[in-house]
Amino acid sequence: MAGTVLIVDDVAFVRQTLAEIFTRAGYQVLGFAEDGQKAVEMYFKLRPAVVTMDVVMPTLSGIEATRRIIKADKEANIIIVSALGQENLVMEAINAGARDYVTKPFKAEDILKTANRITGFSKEKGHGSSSQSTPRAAQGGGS
Amino acid sequence: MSSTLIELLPENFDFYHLGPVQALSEATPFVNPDEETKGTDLQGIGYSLQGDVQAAVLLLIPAGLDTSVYSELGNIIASQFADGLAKDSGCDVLVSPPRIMAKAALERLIRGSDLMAKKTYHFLDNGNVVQIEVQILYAPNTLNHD
Repeated sequence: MAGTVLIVDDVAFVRQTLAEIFTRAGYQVLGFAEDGQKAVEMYFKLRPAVVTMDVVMPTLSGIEATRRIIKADKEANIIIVSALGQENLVMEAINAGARDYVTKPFKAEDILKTANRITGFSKEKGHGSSSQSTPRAAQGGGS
Repeated sequence: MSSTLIELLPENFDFYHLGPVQALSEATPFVNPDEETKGTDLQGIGYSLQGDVQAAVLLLIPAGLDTSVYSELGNIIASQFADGLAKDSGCDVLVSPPRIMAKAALERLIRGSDLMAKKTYHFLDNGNVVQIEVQILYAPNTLNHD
């Protein structure tokens, strides 16, 4: 469903910050995950239009979670959001299938610009460019 | 070596919508560990550095603060430090998830590790100035010995 997001980060403050940013921008936050393993489970349960994925997390890293999601769904839109900015890590994330990489601390406009570009979502239009998008009035309440 | 490590710690940066984090002074290469926690109510948040380096980053803050906020603040400092180390060494350096440490564990860690560098920051938290001390420690395995 267009304009929906799954937020993945092991730190509650970051999850809350991202939720506020996306909600103000007209997105619907479908859920949260605190580690990579839960991220994979939640992705296939919720099927968000976009995922923000931290890298350093317990249980399973964000890059490995990305790899597993993309393996099963090549159309998944995953944005890596990490405080680490080493070139090898960025390349590893992109090679794993991430659409983009945003470094922390991010500005709200930067993360939104990235998400909007990847999904084609627009608050004014209320839908993305996906063929599966529906007008805002017809969208369900999500889970 | 210590002055080089100090240079890898970030200076001032904007911490999301909460405002700036400001570096106060040059790091002190050595501090008596017994003075660190005596008479103060501190808590620590530790990050192991993983890769070809053997070190840990420790964030010392007053007890009672929101550890989620400071876990992320420390994550940014530790990660920028790791990025700097990676650039200098040509090797990947990763940072572990944050580990919240109670005072007793903190004292054990500080006493059991070699302090390589230290930097102090100020952050305005709900109108109060919070002093944050960041220490770079050698012997990172002590983060697992609680």
